[in-house]
Amino acid sequence: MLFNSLSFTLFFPLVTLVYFLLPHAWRWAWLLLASCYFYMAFVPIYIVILAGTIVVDYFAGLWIDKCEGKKRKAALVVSIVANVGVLAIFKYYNFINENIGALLNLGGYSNPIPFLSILLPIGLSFHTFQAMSYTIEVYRGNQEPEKHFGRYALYVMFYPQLVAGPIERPQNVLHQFREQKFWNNQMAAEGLKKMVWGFFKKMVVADNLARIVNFCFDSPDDHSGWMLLLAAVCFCFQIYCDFSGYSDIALGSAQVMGFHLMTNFNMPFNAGSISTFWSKWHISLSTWFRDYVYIPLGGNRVSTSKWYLNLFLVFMISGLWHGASWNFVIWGALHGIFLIVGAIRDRYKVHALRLLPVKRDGRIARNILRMQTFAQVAFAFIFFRALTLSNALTIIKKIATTSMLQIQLFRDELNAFGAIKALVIVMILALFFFSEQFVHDHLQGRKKLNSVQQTLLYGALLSSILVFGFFGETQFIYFQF
Amino acid sequence: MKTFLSRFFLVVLTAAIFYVCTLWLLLQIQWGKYPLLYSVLDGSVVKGGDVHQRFSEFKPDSAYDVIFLGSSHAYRGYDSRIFSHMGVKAFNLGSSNQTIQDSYVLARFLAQKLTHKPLVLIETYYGTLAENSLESTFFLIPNVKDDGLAVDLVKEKPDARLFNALMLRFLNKSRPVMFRDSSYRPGGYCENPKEMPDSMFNLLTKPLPAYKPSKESLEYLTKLLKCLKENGFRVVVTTHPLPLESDRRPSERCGIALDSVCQREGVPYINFAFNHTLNSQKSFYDSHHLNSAGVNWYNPEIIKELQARKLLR
Repeated sequence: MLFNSLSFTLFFPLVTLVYFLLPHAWRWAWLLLASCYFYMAFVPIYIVILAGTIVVDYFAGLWIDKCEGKKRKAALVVSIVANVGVLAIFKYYNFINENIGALLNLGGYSNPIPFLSILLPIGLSFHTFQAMSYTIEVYRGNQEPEKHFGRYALYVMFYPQLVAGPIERPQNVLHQFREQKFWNNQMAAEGLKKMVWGFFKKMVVADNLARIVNFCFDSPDDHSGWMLLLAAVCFCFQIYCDFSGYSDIALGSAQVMGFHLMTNFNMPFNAGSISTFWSKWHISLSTWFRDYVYIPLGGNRVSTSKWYLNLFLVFMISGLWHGASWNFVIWGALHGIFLIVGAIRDRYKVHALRLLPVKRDGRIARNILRMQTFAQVAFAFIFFRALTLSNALTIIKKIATTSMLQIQLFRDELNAFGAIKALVIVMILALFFFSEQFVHDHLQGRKKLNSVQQTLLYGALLSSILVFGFFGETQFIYFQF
Repeated sequence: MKTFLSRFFLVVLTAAIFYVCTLWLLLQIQWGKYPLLYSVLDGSVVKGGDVHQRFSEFKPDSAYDVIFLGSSHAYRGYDSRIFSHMGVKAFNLGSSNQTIQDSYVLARFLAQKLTHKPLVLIETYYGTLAENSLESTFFLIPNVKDDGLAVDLVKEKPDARLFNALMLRFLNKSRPVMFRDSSYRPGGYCENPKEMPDSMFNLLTKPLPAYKPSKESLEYLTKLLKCLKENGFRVVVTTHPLPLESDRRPSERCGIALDSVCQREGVPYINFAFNHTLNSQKSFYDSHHLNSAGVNWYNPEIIKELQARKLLR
């Protein structure tokens, strides 16, 4: 079920209402049932895969707790192999096979391995990572194994974060399912506010920007460098508003029922470096990779060259996590390279800002660094969004070779798209850009508003969703992962 | 809880006021030919054109012999004037891309409003039974005469975009019609005398994408036929001629599905799709719409067929 669907506007209040009406002992069952229904609204049969991994991880957790030494490790390996195995079959099998085929073709052989005609289960990468974090934490002794099968299943399947995160940790969530929750006006109001802001970001900003982005990225050969540049910038805000909007709705809907999920975004486009960007963007995934891949590889407590290699590897894997295609691998690798370059720059204190007559910690310098980081992120996102690698290269080439002579062509393209539509979309983006900090601070409790101001703010957001929102039930971009 | 609920409803009320004010404001700003709102609101259609002319002309208390429902195939394929020359009083209630679901709402409206029960001819082709779209509802909401019918159209397909269109209808009530369709003819028909250009004719043999009638549309067709029959209407389902050179597979699959539903409901199905000898370039103006010449051949033929089947009184 999509958050931005009519079904969800009925599902959410009903689930919440019944949740609070039921006695505590039955609430887990109700939430689990609702989560199953939520998941099965996409492709019902895939719940079998989810159930299979839940059973394996549940018993693996108990086994890890009971056993010692090698047996303990074996249980962890079984859990990881089961989760990674499901991912490998459903997400990477055809990609690997395609590349084997390409290698065999080079040697003049044909690929005898058949391709699988299967649909990727929705949110597979999210819930397998969440399940793995459970068994790893139990293995590390940071989490008691969950004895109650239903509560463990709910940890994996809790509907607000089931299909697109945040990828939770057992220490943060499992105990919350055991605690009795009471209706809390303050929490419910905070949750609803987050949801409204999330819907605004998704339906008004992201889905409107998608029109320009799709118009250009679907056929880059037909567009000028200026138009592609506009689309590349728009895509950064589209994916941010799409994904962080989803996270806000997830956090908000959980909060109405009294649950706290981890923050997934913290205004990443304010970051002055790529490393800061990754501490603000998809936080639940970047901390997952930090805790379960980067640190076990040695993190930065190794030789400098090994550290750089660790950074590069982690981001390559992160790219592959997003999708089974070389575009995503390149996207991840680019971020790895940017981080390594940033680390070298910091190490040798080589800074472009030194060449400029600005204070290093002043406002101008901060904004220059923000723009530089944004440009790097936007560049890498071209690979993320382009349909093929050659499309991405075409876009980069066209943007790099664009000139003022193409302004007239750009004007014609805007007219073909719809000049007024484009203007409205740009205005929506500008409104979002200038209001985000204000709403973010308010939602974080840093900016206090009186009840009249709040009523006006959320009334305006709700009405703009109705007027400017896109109601075509468009999927969230991260659902495909 | 009481405070929470009162605050919640206050926000909703504020949102409703903002919503109406924003719509009204955007409606006042003229941007080019139409108010700015039409560039902002997703799927909004201006008041006017053939649908508006059709529903303004339609008189529910008239004793029509035939009423046509369907997509552009209906309002471009059935000329009420030809029917009138042959002694049959007809009216065309087709609208752009009219889905079976919209035809069903119109049928319920006819059942309520008409005292004289005519023959209802439902013109279909493979496109009618494809996935449900909102296009026809966007055209109908601002242009039907009856407020109740506009509300029913939204009730049948709960969607925020249609709700917006309904609000716009009420805000636009006092505004004059924004444009008129010069091809509109009395009785609901839209005339197009053009012949099919060579460039289009050469593409006719191109295979069409794989096609499967939508389950939802077929369910609505059953509901539509049942509704009309239960309310005392005679009903016939038709498919008008299509260019003989075009890919026949979608039409054949659609024909099988239509046949099965019509047989089950005891409604005749008359399929002219490839049952004709029309010259495609001279009788069609594009890949699937009849032009005036095509209509001039087809309409007398269908009248004869309806008379032979004793469907016309």
